[in-house]
Amino acid sequence: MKRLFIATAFAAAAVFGFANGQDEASTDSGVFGGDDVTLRFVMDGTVEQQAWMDELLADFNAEYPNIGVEVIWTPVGAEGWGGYFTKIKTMIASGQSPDLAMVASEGFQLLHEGKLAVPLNDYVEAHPELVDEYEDIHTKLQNACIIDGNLYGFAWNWNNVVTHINLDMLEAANLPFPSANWNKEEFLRYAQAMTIEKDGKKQYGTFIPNYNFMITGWLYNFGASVLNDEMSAAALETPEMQECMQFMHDLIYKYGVSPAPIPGDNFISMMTNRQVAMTFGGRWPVPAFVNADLNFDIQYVPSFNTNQVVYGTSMFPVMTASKHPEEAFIFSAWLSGRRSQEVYLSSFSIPTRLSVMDKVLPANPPENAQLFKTSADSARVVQAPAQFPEVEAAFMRAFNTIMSDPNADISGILSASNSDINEILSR
Amino acid sequence: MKRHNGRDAALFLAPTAVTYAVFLYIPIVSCFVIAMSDYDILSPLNFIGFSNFKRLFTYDRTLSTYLTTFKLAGMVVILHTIIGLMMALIVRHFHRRFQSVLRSIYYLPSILTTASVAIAWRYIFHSDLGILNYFLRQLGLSNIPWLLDPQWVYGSIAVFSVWKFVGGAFLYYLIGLETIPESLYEAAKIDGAGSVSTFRHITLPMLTPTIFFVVLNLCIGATQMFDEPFFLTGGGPGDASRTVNLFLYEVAYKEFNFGYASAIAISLFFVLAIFTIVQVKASNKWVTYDRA
Amino acid sequence: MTVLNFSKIRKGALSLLALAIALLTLLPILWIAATSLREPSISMKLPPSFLPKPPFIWENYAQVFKSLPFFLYFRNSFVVAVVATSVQLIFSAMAAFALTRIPWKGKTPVFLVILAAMMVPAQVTIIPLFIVMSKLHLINTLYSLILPATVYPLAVFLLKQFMATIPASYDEAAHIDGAGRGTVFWKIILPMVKPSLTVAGMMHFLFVWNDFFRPLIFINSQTKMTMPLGLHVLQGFMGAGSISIVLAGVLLSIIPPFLIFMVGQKYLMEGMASGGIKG
Repeated sequence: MKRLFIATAFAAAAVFGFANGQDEASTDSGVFGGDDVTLRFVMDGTVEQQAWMDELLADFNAEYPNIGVEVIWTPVGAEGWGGYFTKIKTMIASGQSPDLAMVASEGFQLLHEGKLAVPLNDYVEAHPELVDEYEDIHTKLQNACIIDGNLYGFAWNWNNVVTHINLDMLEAANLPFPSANWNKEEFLRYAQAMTIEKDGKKQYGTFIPNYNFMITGWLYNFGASVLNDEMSAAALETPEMQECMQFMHDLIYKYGVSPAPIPGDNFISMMTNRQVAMTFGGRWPVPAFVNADLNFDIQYVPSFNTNQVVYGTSMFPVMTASKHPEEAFIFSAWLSGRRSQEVYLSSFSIPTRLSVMDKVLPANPPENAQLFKTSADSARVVQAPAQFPEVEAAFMRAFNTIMSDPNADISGILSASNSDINEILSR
Repeated sequence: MKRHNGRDAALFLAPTAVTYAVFLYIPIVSCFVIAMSDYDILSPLNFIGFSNFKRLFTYDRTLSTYLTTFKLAGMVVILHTIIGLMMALIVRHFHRRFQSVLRSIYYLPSILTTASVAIAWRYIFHSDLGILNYFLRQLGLSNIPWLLDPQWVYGSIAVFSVWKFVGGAFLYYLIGLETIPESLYEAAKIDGAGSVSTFRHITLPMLTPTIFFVVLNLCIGATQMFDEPFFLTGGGPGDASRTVNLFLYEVAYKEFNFGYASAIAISLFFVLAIFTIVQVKASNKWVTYDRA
Repeated sequence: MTVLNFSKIRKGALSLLALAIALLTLLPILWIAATSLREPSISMKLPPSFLPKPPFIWENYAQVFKSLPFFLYFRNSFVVAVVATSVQLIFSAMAAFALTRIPWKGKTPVFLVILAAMMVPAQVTIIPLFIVMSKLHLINTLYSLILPATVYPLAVFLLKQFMATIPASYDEAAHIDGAGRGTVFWKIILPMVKPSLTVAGMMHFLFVWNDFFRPLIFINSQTKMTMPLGLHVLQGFMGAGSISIVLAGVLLSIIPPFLIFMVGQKYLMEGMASGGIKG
């Protein structure tokens, strides 16, 4: 019994030590000791990326010794952006609001309409010197960060959706690299040629996109979108939307060139495991591809009806609940600078600065990496109303219902979802 | 000594009283209060009467998740009850040492982290790329849409659930079997009863308290199912495998509609309470407690 | 011992069946282990392997640590499970003591109130708890996981059943020697119910260790995540690229409950039997 008691006491001591001490520990004690202000900063990243951030913070602190930064690493992970914004909302509601946070396009309207972030226009006007070469940020991407004239931050990283192609499989099928404006028929031919089955083992020509962002990449090229242009109503009943869903469905069930997606399926691992020849995404999977020694290159999403690249960007908005908006602005502007992009975004995601894109894209695989930059000029931001998490969930429910059923009533499912989404938007 | 009985009992019960009150009973009561509001944690709470409760009966997604939950729970309860019993009966026929090896193996999945093993099972179940269908194809069969078809998805969840959790029922049965006095079997032997008749007239009646305990536990657990659909299907395809609990979680933490989520929670609470009461009442009819 | 009269053939068939079930039970775990050591580029290559074949790619395990703060998850899980279990055991034992060894009116209703807690779904309390934790600024701390986990009615039940079997003469003898109730509880009763404590402790430890729901809701940042939640992060469209790496994480995460089970399984099985889970 004595042992149990000692164990309890030990454990209790441990938890009080840990649970208390941890808050201090994660503020990177020592280094920023005696700060006037410590900013709470919510960010997503792997352990490897966290090391890059440490490097950046050391630099920042050398410049601003009296602004400490506590990074609250909050993984986007399996719950997606919706889950990530939920966590930020949770922190705000519990009185532990971050001073600033990395937020992707999917959350910009949420910040704006919910008045969760502070417009930075006045700060920029008062301290233009804090902003590292504004013109260097791709104008199109930066425009997404300005809503109704309110500037909420500086576009920092971005991603588009392109086709990832396994070059070994392409070669084995005796196909040339597709041209930039390849169309639906060519794409189908490629997918069919790279679908091989033997001994019950199948290599699929492609894997249809199965997350909102990548699906949007396809929708835009079909001339469709989940919502109308004003994002005031659902647009799932258009012929273009029908056509896109029908084509995806055909790729699975009529042509058998794509596995049927199951919610949560990860295209990156399908690609690295050589299960599929073509997938759709941005630059974020590149490190995983390189890690897996994948011989790959990228091309535009086929122009099914049109060419309209989708993009999503991230920035570091300052939260309304922040007690140190000025310092938060200083850090937000600093972190949007060239140095930060060079350190953090050289291999992962796409930098928004023209100079950094020119520097890091050619230095890294794939061969056609310049596409990541040029596509920005004609890109259109991913649709994300303030009710994004719910709209996404409703649309994905319809999408998965269609793609999992060989005999799906596509137009019926789309109309049902159309009214679901309209109902959500009307709340 | 006697004088202090009341005081001592209060002292010894105090920690339990406090923790149960703070973390269990007060939250239950507040759940009712929140259910009458439109609380979203960011804005102040507004009372909106019973409209959240009304919506329970009018919103078809809530009703469909209940239907799904009952179907899933029913299947899981039946499978666990029967398979668990079969496993226990099989294990009973071996020597002590071998019995304990089997027992450990059979119980092993029950103690593993659901979140972890469910991740692995997704790859096992994957229709086009998974390993289960690979073996089916090797046998000349066609792919089964394990996680894709609204009907098969129940089967998949049941398979996973049996693999993961049947050890619990199995173990209770094993314990229950152990408590049946050997003399009863010997008497049956003398009377010349066959194995089927011994099972029907001795094992089964003597085991009814255990069966009741197992079924009740399973019902309570299965009606609250969350992890299995969360990890395997995300509730899909469509809403096919969305259980009440999963739906409640999404209403609360995706829509931030805490009021409605609380109303769903309350409804679940009552459903469970009714289940339990009905089963306890019904148990008088079939559970034999008059054992030696 | 043999209950029914089985011929040798039937015995053989039973053995085969028993082994088949054991194999089916173990196969997924073997597959996880074997695949976690495969080259990432062929991790899902068919046919799957169930026994690890060289070359063993231990690098997959290193990759898990590169993408996730795994030690931190381990530590958090450990702290939460150990503290919650210890506190809960002491509280439950005290309650069981009051319910079995002190004569007072109202035992039955109190016991029922405690038992009824078993029927309460975690979801009913999670929203109010979430709000309370928010207001107390305990969201995203280990306290938010530990505090609610101190409620474990099954332990009260098991301990009460066991304590009820200890003859009252033990207490009386001690009282005559002048021992107070605290001493009786701590020095006499508690050591005697060790088997039940072990069982209730293990079951609760595993429950807390494996819990996914509460961490999912209460924990925001990576530094406070427990193992099951942390691992979940490897999933998703931005998740790890290799299934081998994911499975390496899965395998690492199930080692602690596995070890606990191996060490304590004897007590678990026997303790449950003696604890009176008979219906």
